[in-house]
Formats: sequence, structure tokens, C-alpha cells
Amino acid sequence: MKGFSCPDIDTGWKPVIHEDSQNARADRPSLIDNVDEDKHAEYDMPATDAQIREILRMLGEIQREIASLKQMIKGMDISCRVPEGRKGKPRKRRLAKKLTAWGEVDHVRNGEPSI
Amino acid sequence: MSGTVNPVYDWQQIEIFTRQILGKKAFQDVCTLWQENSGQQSGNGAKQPMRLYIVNDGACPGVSPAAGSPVKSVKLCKRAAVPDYPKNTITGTKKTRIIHRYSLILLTEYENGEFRVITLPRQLSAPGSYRKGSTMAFCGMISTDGQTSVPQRMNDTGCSEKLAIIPEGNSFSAFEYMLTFPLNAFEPAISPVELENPGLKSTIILSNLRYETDIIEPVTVPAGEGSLIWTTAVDLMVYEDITIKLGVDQDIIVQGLSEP
Repeated sequence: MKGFSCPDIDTGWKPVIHEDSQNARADRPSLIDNVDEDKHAEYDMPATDAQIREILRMLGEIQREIASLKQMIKGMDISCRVPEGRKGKPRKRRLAKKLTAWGEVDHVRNGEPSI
Repeated sequence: MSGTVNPVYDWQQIEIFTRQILGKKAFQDVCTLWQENSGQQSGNGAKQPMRLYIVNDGACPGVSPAAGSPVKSVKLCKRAAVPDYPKNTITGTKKTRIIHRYSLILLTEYENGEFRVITLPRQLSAPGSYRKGSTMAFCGMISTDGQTSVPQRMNDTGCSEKLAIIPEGNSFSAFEYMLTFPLNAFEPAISPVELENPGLKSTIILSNLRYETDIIEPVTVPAGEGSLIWTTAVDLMVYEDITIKLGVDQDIIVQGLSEP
């Protein structure tokens, strides 16, 4: 084997490239298309970080939309009729009426406790 | 540093920036230019020298071509790496891949005393695809259409290697050598948490390049359109050591005294 005076090659330290995140970027361009690519390169962030940042941005937008909807609802004069609750008394009366009609109980009519 | 011992209360907090090596792997005597056993393209064969058919000096294609002057010796003058190579990637299957693209510059001496410089793979052609003014050698790593590479593969206990030729226009720009191996081959093994560290960096060192050549015999090779050309069969293998390190930047704080 012949020795060869070829200088060694040293790449120096470089960020590791994740092939799966590269593929993810290619498969889902819509999610991270709006990410500032220059900024991304500047901070040397991998694509996963960019995705997290994008998700956080979208969450922020949703939060703002919810807040604006709340404001809109506040401004509107929405009056709802409070449903009249059926109190126990009339119901009890109706029940007692039915039961007495069938001739099963008398104490309900008299208002006595049913022990 | 002075010979006196400084009391502890003289110590100060010193912040140091450093790079912590998380894992390292060194491959010795890796053959990065080879050819599979003829007829075996499965990757389970053995590495054999790359068989080059170097065109004899003064040889021209023809039906009964002149033999020209055969090759006497071949020397590797330079191995040029393509910019941004070698590089490292982590695959989805938790493996790491080293990709290296390079070209070789050979100095060929002929029996008649002439010398020529051959750049590989730029001046390589497939047998039957001789290009006048360009082809200096033939090789079986290029398909018969003369446009595409025939990748050579090698698999061995979790590691896999692949050698291909990168096309560029009507010729070829570089050899591409790929070495893929599992992350647990690093010493110490890289943990999944470390692997997901966005600050993870790698460095690749290629060292101790050496080669073997063997002049076989003069032989005719199809040049295309029914013509032949005289060449000299030459076997070539290239070896080198490949070291890869993975690491992260660290800011550490120590208590001590800095040199004035």
C-alpha cells in the first residue's frame, strides 16, 4: 500500500442534519412556509423548532380571535328569557292528583310525610 | 504559574466555553473506492479493487485499432473533496450517515515514457461509450447507457456502505461514498435525549489516505458503434481512516484562579 501525502480533511463542527425532519419539511410545506427562513438559518435552529414556533404562533392567533369574539359578544345586546323552572309544588300537586285518582295514597293529599 | 499555593478565598468564579464530546467513532482502513464481486450486486460480497481500463497512449477507436503504448505505472496525485463534504446526517431509523464526495487525480506513466493526468470520475466512461477528447478510462460502475451510475453496496453487521458516481451533464463530477451505521456504535452510546438536542454538532475527520494500484494487462474495450480501443486494465483501491464525533457546546463555571 502506498502512502500518500494528502492533507487530512477536517470538516470542523457543523450542526447535525436530521433526515426525517428534512423529509417532514418537504412533505408539509404549508405548515412552515411562513416561517422566516433567514431567521431560522441565523439561529441555526432545526426544523422541529421552527414547527414548534409556528404552532405557538397559530395558538396565539387563535387566542386573539377568541378575545375578539368575546368583545363582539359583549357589545351585542343578547337577552335570553330565563326559563321558568317547574317548582316542586305544582308537580307534587299533579302527582298527588294522579295518585288519588288511582286511589292508592291519601296522605299525599293531606301533605303528610310518606314514611 | 507561581509555586505558591493560593488560598481558597482567592478563587474566583470563571466561566468557560467548551465543547463536550458526547460520542466518538473511529473506523480504521476503510476502503472508500472499490467494486463489488462481478455478478453480485446484493451488497453481501467482498470489496474488490475498482477495475479501470485506461486508454493506451496513442490508442484510437477502430475495427482493428492500433494498440498504442500501455500503462506502465499509476500514481494518485490528489484526492479533491467536493465543497461542503464530507457531511453527516441522522436518519429516521436512528442511524448516522457519513456522505463524502470526492474526485481523484491520477498521474499515468506509459511504456513509451509519456505522462498524462487523468481526473476521475470526470474522464470515465462506460465501455461502449467512448467520447473523443474526454474519455481517458472505462469502468464498470457506469451503466451501458453511459449516463447513470451502477451503485456498489456493502453490508456488514449493522453498517452499510454505498459507492456511486454523481452525474453532471454528459459526464460525472464525483464519487459519492456513504457509510451508514447505528448510533449505538458511538463510544459512549448517544442517548435519545442527546440526539434530540437542537445544538447537536458533528465533525468528521478523514486521515491517513493511501492507495493500491496493480497494472494487469493490455486489453481491448468496446468503444461504441462496433469499434474497439486498446486500454490497460488497472486495479485501484483507496483506503482511509474515518473519525466522527458528536458533541454540544457547553458553558461551564469553575472555581479557581486564571493565569494573569
